[in-house]
Amino acid sequence: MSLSRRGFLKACCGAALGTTMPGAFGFFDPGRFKAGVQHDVLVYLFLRGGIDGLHLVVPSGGGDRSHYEAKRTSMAIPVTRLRPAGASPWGFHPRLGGDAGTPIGEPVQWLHQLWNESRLAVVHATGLVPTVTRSHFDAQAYIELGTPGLRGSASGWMSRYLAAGTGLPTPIVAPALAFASNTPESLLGADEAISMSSGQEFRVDGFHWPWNDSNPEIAGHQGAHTRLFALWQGQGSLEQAGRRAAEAATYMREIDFRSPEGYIPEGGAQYPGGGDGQTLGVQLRNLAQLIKLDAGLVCATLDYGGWDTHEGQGMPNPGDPSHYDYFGNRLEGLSRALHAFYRDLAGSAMGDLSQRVTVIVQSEFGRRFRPNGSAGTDHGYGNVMLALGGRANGGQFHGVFPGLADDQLFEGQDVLTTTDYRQVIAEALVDRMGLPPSDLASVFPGMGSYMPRGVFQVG
Amino acid sequence: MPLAATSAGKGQDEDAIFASGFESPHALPGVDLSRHVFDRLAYGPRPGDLDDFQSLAGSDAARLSAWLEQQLDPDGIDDSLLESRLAQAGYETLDKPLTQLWAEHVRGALNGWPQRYRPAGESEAATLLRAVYSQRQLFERMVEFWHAHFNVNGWTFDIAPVFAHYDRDVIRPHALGNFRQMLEAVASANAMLQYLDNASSRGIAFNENYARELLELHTLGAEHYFGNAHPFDVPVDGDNRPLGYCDYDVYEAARAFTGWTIRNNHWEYRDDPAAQPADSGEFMYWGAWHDRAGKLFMRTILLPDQPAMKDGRDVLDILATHPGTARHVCAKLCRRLVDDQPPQALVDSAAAVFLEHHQAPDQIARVVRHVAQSAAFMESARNKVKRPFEAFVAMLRATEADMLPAPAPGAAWNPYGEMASRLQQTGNAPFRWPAPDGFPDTAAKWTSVSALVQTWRLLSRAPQWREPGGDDAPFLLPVLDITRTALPAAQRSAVNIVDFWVGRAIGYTPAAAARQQVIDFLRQNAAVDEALNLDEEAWQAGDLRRHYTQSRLRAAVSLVFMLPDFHRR
Repeated sequence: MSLSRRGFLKACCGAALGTTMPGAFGFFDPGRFKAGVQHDVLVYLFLRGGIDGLHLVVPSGGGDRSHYEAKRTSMAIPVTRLRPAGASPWGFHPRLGGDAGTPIGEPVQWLHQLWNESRLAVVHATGLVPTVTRSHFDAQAYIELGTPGLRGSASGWMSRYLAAGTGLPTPIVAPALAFASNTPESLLGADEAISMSSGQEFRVDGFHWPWNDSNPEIAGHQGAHTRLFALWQGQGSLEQAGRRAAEAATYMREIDFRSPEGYIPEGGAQYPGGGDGQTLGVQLRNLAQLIKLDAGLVCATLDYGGWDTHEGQGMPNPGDPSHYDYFGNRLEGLSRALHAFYRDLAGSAMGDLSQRVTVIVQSEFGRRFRPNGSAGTDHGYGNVMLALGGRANGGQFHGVFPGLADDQLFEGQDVLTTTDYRQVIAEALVDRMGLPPSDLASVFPGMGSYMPRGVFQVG
Repeated sequence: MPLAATSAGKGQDEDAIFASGFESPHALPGVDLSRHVFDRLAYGPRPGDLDDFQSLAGSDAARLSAWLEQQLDPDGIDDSLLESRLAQAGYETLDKPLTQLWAEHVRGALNGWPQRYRPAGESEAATLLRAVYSQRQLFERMVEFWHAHFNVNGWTFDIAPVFAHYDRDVIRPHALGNFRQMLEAVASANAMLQYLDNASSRGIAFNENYARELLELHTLGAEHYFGNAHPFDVPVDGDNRPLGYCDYDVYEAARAFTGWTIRNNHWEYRDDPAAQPADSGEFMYWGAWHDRAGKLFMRTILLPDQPAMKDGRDVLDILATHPGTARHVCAKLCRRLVDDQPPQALVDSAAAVFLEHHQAPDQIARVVRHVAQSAAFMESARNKVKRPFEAFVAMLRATEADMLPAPAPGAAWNPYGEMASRLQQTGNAPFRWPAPDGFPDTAAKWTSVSALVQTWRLLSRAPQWREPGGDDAPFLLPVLDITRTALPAAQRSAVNIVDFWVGRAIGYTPAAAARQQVIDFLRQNAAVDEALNLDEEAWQAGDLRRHYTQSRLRAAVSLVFMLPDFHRR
């Protein structure tokens, strides 16, 4: 436990005992973020289930378009329903840049808008190398552990970065945050990571009111929750986990995560108030709030699942607001939520915080090129990754797309993987997170030579 | 590449329980066998349970044996207490046959919110009731195990309306029965056919979702997956049987199950006389959708044009008798009942029992008996962490909760909506795990900050709930009454009260400092041995030992159930 965390707890206990506490934002220090700290906050968003990258970033011209139409058959999105990605031979699924009722040709919104502003980058044909697996659970574990082919690792890649990272701030509560009920594999073994499913409900608040909160008006009165930390003394791993939980709950209790009562998004950010992106939006809003509190957060993970589209994947029909499109609804939620997060940070009164926040989006694998008989797609191999941030080299495609001809497909059926996903994360760690390239071997053992793709800017 | 399977060792002494030295291997002070059994093989003791266990026979070994024989014959156990609660709760959907659930909650007038979800909501409420009140505790434990093993997400639009069928007719009848029969019941279950999409898998372009999870999760397990290896490169055992499966086997299994579907009025068959009734929700093998060509599954040839369902049944036969399946299923069971990292020798010996009795109607009961009577089980007291649902139910049992959970959402306010919501936040509410791998079963997954905080949030609230009916309605957990009954007024010091509840919750003395925290909270400025006046429930800010004493008692009892030792099992 770091000194500043002890100090924080002392301050909390002081508050509980009736001395003056400088309010929930007492540890807010806007200067520290701008000066001195030589790293970004890395946000790792996992699209569980295996998003169909070929349904998100679609060939719109050239030979690959012919292969696409021939083999995607009934699930090939017509060129007229794609929103063009600049002058490239690619188009985006229309819901990346507009709702169901927005026809092609209208100004694009959300993530597509950030692509146009060169803040969103796409990396083609990424995935697990050399291991091939079409199992969700193997693939997710390999990717998050950072050890393709090995599920037995006791730590995830993010934990190993935190262990190796130099120049990281001293956290007030925890350097890493997972928006999840259970610890994700990427943070396995990171004893100082915390997880919560949402800020508002993250509090031990069930005791009857006379003994729930501490009442500063009554001398010596302490709510029952203040005893929790002391209940979990001892050296067992369970006791240590309990102290982390008690500490995190104590810290978070001081923060009002409600909006607008406790937090007003900046930059005109509109987090989704409903629909598929609502939960993700609340989590990202909580995250933006924590980043602005500058409590020493280094990494965060989030999940946005529902991509295992074996059946009824959905086809877009832009301009028809009544048309149901499962994939499109999920995608719009993602696009709205990430866009709001970006605007919230970029438009902060503290300065353009998007310059210090890097988002990486990935999934466990892509999906089969040919659709199945259920208007869906089965498990495949190579897939796109997304990078978002003020220091991402956006508005462009990175990596090598291997092609869709029969002899270019992996085993004749899937998009080949040409970029090891670890290289993309490694680049973020080196260029944005201050990790010396010589330390990459400890984060990604066995990755081989570091080969940056130019996805991120340095400095 | 995944590692090849380890050898299925035999020769473990199945009678290790009777070996000398068995009576005293407990790691922690005061954890006797009765509490270990009730923590592991039941949902924690209710008052009287441990005494009943002690009176079963004259030695620990004989007591365990007698208890197991009772529990492994659930039909022989009088469960009238539970049955009267279930009747009193007035659930409306749990007895509806599949065809009625389909007609009413999928197709009929009850298919809108919230009635569409009522079968799942009532199944969850009944699961909580059974865990708390059923005398068939080991059976309920195994039902929970199999629901996680054959997980479907009960709270989805398609599955919620038929979930009562999945719980009642698919999982529960086989929980102590025969694995092969259970496998086919699951393979042909409406909920699973929808969840993993086999209902729409047709010969022309099969859907591999179910077949993949059948191999990876239900039978052989990912530890026997050889990725995209060529099927003839998968190593074989001495009987020329592949040690595992590869992607090719997934595709072949998917082809074998084409045509296993549900009667959901699909346009391709709804007018065909052979497919009537075409919209009942029941299982149907529709031959026109089956891939008739021959198949090669794990080195076994399935001939073309086999009789109806034979391809799929052949696949299930191969899997159910494969040593890899036995090891995978037994490893999960040992993880549930013994240790996060179960000893390989125990897994192997359990797998041997599993295989030897693969045709027995009580195959699973035999494996459970073997595991529960192993030396490893005896030595495993308190080395697992309770999952949130287990912690919650154990608290309800120890506090003699009196409740009749209604499915959320109810028409009028009741405490059960909040109960369900807080349980859901822990990540461990029944039938709400979204992915097909089911609830995790290791401490690392359930000691996350979120899981612990949300569990505490639930437990901090539990003693405050009242029955519907306003501010004077009785509490669901009669903490005050129990305390008064247990201790005469003169003996109601904070120390005595805390120790009484520690005895109920844990059964041995926890760390002194932690115990003292609860005592200090309860007594406030009272002397250590000063009796508290439990009749007081009013503002007394100048004298905190009298300040809302009844509320403070309930909060202190919550704190007892938040002690780390309670969270071990």
